[in-house]
Amino acid sequence: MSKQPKISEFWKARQLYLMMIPGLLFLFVYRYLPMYGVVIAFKDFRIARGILRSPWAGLVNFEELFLSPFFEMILRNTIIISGLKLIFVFPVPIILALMLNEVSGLRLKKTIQTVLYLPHFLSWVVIGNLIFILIAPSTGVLSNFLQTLAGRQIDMLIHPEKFRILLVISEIWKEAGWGTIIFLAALVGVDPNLYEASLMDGAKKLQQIWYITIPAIMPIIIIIFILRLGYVMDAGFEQIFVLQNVMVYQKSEIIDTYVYKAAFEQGRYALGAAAGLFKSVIGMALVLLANRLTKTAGNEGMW
Amino acid sequence: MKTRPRRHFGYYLNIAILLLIAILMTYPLWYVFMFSVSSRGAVSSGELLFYPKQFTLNNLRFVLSSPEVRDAYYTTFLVVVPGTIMSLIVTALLSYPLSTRIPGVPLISLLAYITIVFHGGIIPTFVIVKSTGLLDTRWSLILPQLVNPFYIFIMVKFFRQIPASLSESANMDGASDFTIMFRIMLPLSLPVLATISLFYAVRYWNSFFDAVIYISDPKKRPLQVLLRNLLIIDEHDPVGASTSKERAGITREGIKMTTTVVTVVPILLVYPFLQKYFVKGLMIGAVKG
Repeated sequence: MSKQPKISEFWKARQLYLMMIPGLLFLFVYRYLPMYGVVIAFKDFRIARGILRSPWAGLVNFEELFLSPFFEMILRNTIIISGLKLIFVFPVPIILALMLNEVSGLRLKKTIQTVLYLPHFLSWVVIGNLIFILIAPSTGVLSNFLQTLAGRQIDMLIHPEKFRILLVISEIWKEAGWGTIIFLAALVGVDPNLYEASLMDGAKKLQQIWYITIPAIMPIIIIIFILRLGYVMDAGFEQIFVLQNVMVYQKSEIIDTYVYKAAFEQGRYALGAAAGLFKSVIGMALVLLANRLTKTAGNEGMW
Repeated sequence: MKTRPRRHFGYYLNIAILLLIAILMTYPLWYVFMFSVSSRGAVSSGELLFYPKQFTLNNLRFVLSSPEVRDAYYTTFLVVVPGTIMSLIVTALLSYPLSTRIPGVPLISLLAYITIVFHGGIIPTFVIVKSTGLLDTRWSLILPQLVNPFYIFIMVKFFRQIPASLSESANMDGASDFTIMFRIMLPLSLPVLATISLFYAVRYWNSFFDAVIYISDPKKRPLQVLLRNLLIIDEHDPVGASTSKERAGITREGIKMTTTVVTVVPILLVYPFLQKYFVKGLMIGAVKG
């Protein structure tokens, strides 16, 4: 800012500042105080004593975390599950958007979109119930179908490797349709002259998509991909929290579920907070790096 | 002049695949609905495929008359309705000043938007919620999630599109900022307000993890938590359906699926309205230039 604002400017805008008070109060109490609250990770924290009166403990919690046999497991699971989602979930909305883009009947297109967006608005608890009943052994319609295909019973919920497949599939079911929005918006911006010119040259539909449409939306694909990369530490807490069970624990326990169990099942708040802080720091570094990358790729970035 | 493009086999194949995907998206919901209105025998023999068998309303009657479901519905409504109203008001009150050029706007915007990326995590948040005395109250399901900074971002963008001349001329006529906000800005922003309030409503309706950690009183559990408990209890305790339930032809699965149905139906009812607005409302925020 080049010049100092005068007192009179503040006075003139007093009603506007007044309006902001409830929102700012919220941000301070429930967003900024918890940021200070991460000091729990460096304390011998007892819930009854609160943050301020718990004594400092240095790096004891982190030592315990890093030396724990669980640490490697939860880190590995977090990265593997995120990676699987990045590889198998990420391309689906792009393909769906390209397919939707080819539908010329406006009403038909709208109807299909409406249906595809719907699962995004269901909670993981609801989806958990859908999954349980669809793949219930011997009665579920999906498990019967799989049985006919494979010739034997497959219970994806309790089979560690297949559980990860279930995570990927259910994530696609819930979010793929919703994910098309941003790509559809990008597709609107593709210059129609390019298509007409290519039509003159005798290009086929698939050639048009391959040589015109995809290159045209490539920048947005790259941005979204890099941003997702920034959220690798978030492997999908609510989803796993709802679907997980003892049988698949070893292959599905991620940092977030570990934090929950440490704090709310074992009362080890400080240890959980240390794991949470470890995750946040790595996650934030990745997000900042991702943002930098999108900028160097010649795009706007998030901020 | 444009000619109507010739349609090939590929065009119809594309539509056929999309329709198939659309069916896959809706079928699980339809299946659960069929499950809840079909008789026990039809369900357990795995006959259900396209339509309900041996139609019955026993499950629905049982679930709707259960005091747990009623308590849960009550809690959920007491969270969704006041929560959505408060969220909308506080978000709008913060967004409008941030769309103006008064001193301090860049700093406050930065402080608000930073919280999209940086946050304390669940344990520090839990400790703050506890020390503000909200544990085991319905407020714990509202206040800690009151404002989503991303919606501030969307609203600010929207307010900035409204011509400044409107508020300036009102200002000349002696209107206060509150008057300008409530008489001019908000009435002009109905699409974005509708979108955001519906998003808040769905978020409150679907939220369950907050209740898992903040609420221990069974009477204050929202619907989603009740539904999740049905899911888990079954896991640990496969027997336990009472004999009276058995006689009425009601199974644990039937109860679970019917509870799922009553949890989903309100979402399905608001969804058409949601759909009408959200793409428009979101695009304003998301698409630049």
